[in-house]
Amino acid sequence: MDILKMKNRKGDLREQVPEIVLVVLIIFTFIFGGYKLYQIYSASEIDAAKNILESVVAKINLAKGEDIKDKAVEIPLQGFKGADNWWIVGFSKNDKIKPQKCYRGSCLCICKFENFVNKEYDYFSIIKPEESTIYFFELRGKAIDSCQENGFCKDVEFSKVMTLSEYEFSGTPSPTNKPVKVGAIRLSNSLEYVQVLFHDKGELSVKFSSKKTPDWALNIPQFLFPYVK
Amino acid sequence: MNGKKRGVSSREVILSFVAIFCFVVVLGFFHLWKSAESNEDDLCYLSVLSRATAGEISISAKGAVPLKCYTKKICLSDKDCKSSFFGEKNVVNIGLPRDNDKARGLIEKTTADEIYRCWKMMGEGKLDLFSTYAQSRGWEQAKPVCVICSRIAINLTGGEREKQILGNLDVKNYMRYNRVPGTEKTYIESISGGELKSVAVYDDEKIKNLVTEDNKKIIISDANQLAVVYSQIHSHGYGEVFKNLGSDVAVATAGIALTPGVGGALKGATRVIITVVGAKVAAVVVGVGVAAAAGRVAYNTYASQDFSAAFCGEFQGAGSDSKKGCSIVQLVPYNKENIEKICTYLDGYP
Repeated sequence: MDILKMKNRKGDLREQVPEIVLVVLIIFTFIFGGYKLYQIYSASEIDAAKNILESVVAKINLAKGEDIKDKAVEIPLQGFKGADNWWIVGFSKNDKIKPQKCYRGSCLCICKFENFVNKEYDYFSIIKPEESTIYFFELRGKAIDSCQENGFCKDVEFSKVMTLSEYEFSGTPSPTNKPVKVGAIRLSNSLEYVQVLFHDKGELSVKFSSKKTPDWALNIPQFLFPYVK
Repeated sequence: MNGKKRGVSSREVILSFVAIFCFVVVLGFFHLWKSAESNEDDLCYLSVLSRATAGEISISAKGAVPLKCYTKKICLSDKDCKSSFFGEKNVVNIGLPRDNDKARGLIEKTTADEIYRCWKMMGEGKLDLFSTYAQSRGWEQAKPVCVICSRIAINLTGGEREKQILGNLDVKNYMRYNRVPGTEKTYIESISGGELKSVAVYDDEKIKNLVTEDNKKIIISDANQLAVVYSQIHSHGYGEVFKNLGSDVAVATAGIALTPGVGGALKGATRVIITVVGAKVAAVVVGVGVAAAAGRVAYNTYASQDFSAAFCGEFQGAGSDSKKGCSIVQLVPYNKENIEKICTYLDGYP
């Protein structure tokens, strides 16, 4: 009886084979299609940011090898949708706090500062807020962590690397009413330029200048200015 | 005896065919994805179609679909384009012939091909790719958005050669009299549907002045680079905007009515407000609010159309309605000043 039942079950299974194959194929199609769609739509922004960093570092190395006396080195940065989440940050060999990716020496990194707007003070702290000086935004620990987790770094052969954005005061009332300097360069979704300067003793600075104060720097809360009179 | 000798049932045959068909479809998909991956144009077109289709379903879904269109880098040179493309990936190098006329012809052909490729890849101006939900409701003004399809760097040795070639460059003329390979139409006919004025090609003077730019002080720069830029602005008409807003209100009202608690609370609140004095205050507040909102919407719609007319007007023929918007492929020198003039922001990837 049991043998007969088992034979029947085997027969049933054999009948089900085409359906099983069909279901497996359909599942495979869905998984494959979903994976491909994910691949297509997720990697683009990361690839673009990575390519920008590689291109900037390659161009810096190219300029370094040339006779650059009396010549300006300007590198165009072509933006993309979502580019304003990404920042170019430089770390020097002797910096005490820097991402692990950059432990060997000096490097340039491109880092994603997610949810930057409204959380900008998680990423930067303001230093030297004296009346006579500009306001400088220094990177905080969270920014370094972001570089480690969501960033890419490339080594550069300079003893010191500095990235700097200089925003002129554009006239909109703000707590600062002064130019703002930031220790990193934010990408944008338009075409911008960064200026590369080679200093003595193997020092490099990458600079971005703008005539407009960034919106996020206009709304600096008063409590962040303990020294302002 | 009874079941053992039976042949294959028709159900099994059908299922086998369906299985084989599915397998073929999977293989086809795989081939399509592979070719799309290897061919950036196909991938871009696929993403353009995906975004346009998503926009048809829901305008807010459109923004979530990225345009996987990468800027193609073309180096037309006697030697190389180190100063333009060093460190950049996928650069297409095309050597120029020594003969100045032939070199000029090759630059014109390459540029015309790139303009045509850009136009085709971005949906020939038929697809609304960039308008947002806020714009469709009149909350935000329409702005031109661009994709830089190609960057063409021209690197010529010798000042006289530069002058001879760039000074006589006439891409517009080339596009007017030469046919798109494999078709019976000229480039201009293919792009503009025969209306010569409906597509802007470029500002001749700016291109000719490329050579006069002082690029000696700059060793890495955008000098001697042209950009093929696809820009699109779509302003929505008053009727369309208010219809969209109306449909939103209908959806919101239905949502509130269907949400247990919220609909009830609102009904309760309405009962509280409607007293003799309260009704007047409520009517005034609601009236002012609606008028202000409608005024803002109307202003944005007007401003969008005005901006669109100013932006598109110079590129379109007299008969066309430039207030509705336009899609244009332009050839401009690749620099901040020119790109900023035609693009509020960039889409696609560098």
